[in-house]
Amino acid sequence: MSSDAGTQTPAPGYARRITSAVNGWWFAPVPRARIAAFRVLVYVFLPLDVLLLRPWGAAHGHVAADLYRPLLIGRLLPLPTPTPTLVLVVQYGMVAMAVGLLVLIARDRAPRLQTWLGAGAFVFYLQWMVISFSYGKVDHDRFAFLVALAVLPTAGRAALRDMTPSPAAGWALRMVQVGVVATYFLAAVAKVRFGGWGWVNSTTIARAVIRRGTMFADPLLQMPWTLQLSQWFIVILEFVSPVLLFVRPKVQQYVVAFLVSFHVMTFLMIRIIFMPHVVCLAAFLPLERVLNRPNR
Amino acid sequence: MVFGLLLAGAFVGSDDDFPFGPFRMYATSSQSTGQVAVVALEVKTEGSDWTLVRPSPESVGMNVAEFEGQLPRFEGDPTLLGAVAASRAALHPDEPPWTDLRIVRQATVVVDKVPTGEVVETVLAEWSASDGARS
Repeated sequence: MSSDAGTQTPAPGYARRITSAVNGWWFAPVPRARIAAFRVLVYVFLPLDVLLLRPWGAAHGHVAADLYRPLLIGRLLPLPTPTPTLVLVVQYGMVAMAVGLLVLIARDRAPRLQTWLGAGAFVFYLQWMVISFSYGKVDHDRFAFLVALAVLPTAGRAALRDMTPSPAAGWALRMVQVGVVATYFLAAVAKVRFGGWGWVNSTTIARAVIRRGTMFADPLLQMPWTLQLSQWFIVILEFVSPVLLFVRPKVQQYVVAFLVSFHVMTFLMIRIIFMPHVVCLAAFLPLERVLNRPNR
Repeated sequence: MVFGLLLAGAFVGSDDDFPFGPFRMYATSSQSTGQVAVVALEVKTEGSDWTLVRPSPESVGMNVAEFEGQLPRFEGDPTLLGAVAASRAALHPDEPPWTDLRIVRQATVVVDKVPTGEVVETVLAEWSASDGARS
């Protein structure tokens, strides 16, 4: 009887092993100090983003309501049509929350309040995105950053010097990593979907250089093959990006360094850098080591 | 569920579905010979001649890409340019109001992936505060 049961139902063993492998991957513990450091990075970046790097949403408060074309999410909820007051409340409200969070994280105080402030910062940032993107243009450079804002409040109390391993912190960082990789991979999917496989041989980058090229890029217009080669390179890079999720941490760090230099180079050539995305690349790094010496 | 929405957005969604739409940064293909176009505004104030204005958050509250995104609306209903003039007035109440406004397409001619330097300009939609819109 018992041996029959054993041969008839081998599946639970496999299923359990697969489930535990998947869970082990999603919840691989990381030091709490790492999530604390990543929080600092994200909440330092947020005010920079909405006040300095991409403050354009603020001007939308003055734009005539006829030009507001709310995104689906803005129609479903339904969110109000931007006014100067609404824009200011959202913009400076989330800056205040981020600053408050930075103080609390640095002093390791009021974990429950941190959770609420984190959730508030996410909601305000999402509304800020609707304000920014409801006038005819949607940017796609901050999906991972939105994921980060959404998951950071879930990771629980974390101090910058607390080296205790935490599965919740591991899951949150894993989510951000998946957001980063999804951005690359799905950007390649979008190229094939909208541009076709011929995208790699098209003049998309040449077009970008004509529209916004710098002194570093303009000479390449006379050598179109260089731009074409970059297009092949970009698509291949984006399609293989999921590998990054499964390689050893050391390899991840080298790849992140390479990706950051890729984004910096793009900026030098066509003045486009996906800053929120670049910040999220830090989710692959052992950030806790900045403040804590590794155990030897 | 989030990842399901994300994949659905990427494969069949549109920009409207943000944050789950497709990641179309520079995703379209362009031809090796043809035109690379950018839209701009030309405006008149009382008694002035047409002046070129680059759309920006500072000038009208919206940038070039946003004008390009709403271009079909402007072409379909040029009176919408009146809303642009109103936005301008809200942002710059101390400056003379725009009496006439038109969207132009400036196309750089490209032959075999190399720009020739020739720029072709076309008026896409035109509006006047005094006698309404002309297409």
